[in-house]
Amino acid sequence: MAGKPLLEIKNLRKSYGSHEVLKGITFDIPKGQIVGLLGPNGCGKSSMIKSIVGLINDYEGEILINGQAPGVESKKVVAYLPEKNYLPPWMTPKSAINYMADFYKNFDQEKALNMAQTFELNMKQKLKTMSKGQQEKLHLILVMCRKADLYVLDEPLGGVDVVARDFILETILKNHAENSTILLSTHLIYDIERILDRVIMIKGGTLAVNTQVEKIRENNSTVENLFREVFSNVW
Amino acid sequence: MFGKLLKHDFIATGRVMGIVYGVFAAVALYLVGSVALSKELDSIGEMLGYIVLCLISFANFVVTAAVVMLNFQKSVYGDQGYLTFTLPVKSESVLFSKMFVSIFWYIAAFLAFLATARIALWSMGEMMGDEGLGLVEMLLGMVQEGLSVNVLIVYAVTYVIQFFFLVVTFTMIAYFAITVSNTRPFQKHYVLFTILFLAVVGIVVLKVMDIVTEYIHIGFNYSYVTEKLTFAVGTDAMVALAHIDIAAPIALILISVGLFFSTYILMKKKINIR
Repeated sequence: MAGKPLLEIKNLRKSYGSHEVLKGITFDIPKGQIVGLLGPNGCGKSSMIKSIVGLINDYEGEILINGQAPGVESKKVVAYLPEKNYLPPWMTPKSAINYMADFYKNFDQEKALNMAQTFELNMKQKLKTMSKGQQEKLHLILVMCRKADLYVLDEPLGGVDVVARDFILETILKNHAENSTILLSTHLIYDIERILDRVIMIKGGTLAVNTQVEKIRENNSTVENLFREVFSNVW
Repeated sequence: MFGKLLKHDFIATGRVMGIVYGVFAAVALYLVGSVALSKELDSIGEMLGYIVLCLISFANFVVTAAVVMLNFQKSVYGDQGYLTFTLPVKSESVLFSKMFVSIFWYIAAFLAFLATARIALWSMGEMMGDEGLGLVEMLLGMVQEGLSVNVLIVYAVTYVIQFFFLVVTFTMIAYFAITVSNTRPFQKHYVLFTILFLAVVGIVVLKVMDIVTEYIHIGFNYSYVTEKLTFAVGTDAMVALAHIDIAAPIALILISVGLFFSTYILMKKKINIR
């Protein structure tokens, strides 16, 4: 019998004006799983993620993280990697690490400094002069050096080559806290299929699939095939 | 956590403001040193120094407004908002921290302005010797005429307090305008709408203040006979020569509180960061 879920989403609805992007989604995620949040662009993935991490507050329904609605307490245990660069351009790896250490008690500063050294980041280089790859490495360090309960990673593999994707996945798998949950949004299913425990597919703002990857395999299928099946009529 | 927010807001704004005050301090030191040594103000360098110092003193208020507003837009509603809104801190703490830092820089600008005036007076005294000192004393005497030192102090404190509340109100008008401009209907052209809302809210606040100063008279009157301040309400207060108004500061406080809560509610409920 599984314990209390880490993330509970009940009848989540979100509209932008008259356009409803999330149409009453309900699911929960237990502790210790790696969950793929899949769906084409515009299906409502980002709105859902933003609601979970506390960037969107005007939604209907209920979101609970460790039994608490998104707020100061939940933000202490949720590590979020947005799709875009969110650091000021004048920041350096050193100042960014200090910043995170100031605000998050569960941020492992020593580990972050070691990782920055391993990733060959110049600690005094300003973000605006860094390459996209270097910036992504820094973002990854800032998120994965937190001992979080829930890691929410929004398109961490987007816009990078296949070698970088492997590197990013390896970094995530090696560094996430024990018994933590990873919610990973992507459309690059092939690359992440091997690491997933569960997949959630969102189609047109509704929950299309919520199942264990093991069960998909038991039916002699793959996540990619299921994805094709579910979204075959989208294009 | 509030202390950490303050620290990082000072770091973010201090990069530009630090340069401004660095230049200001360097020019001021050069002038003071130069005048103290030569007792003259005859070189082109010194003249330029004075011009630069005066320009910085005036431009400082504009630079402060620009830095404070840009920092708020970028760190709260720009890409950096992804970081700000996912920190384990309350939205009101974010707002308070930004407001505190803004007030600090405005007060610094005000002090720099006073320092420039002080340096100018001192230089005048140094250059003109006894004659200059006499001129300074005469100027102070004109201001002081008919008023005791105590009342002058009360006046000075009152004006400083009024400046403080004006700064708080202006900051809150700016933050409110930026926040409304970042709600969904206006988000696409937020720069344009920020300017528009800044003007509209500014005009409304000015009109409210006009009404308050015209119709509400609460404050302290100075008696030349007893040399004391007495609390006064009503039209008598208006005709008094030495009247210290408290209706305007109270109105500014109420406006600021209203704008703070409106901004906070919008921030919490209506903002969708792009």
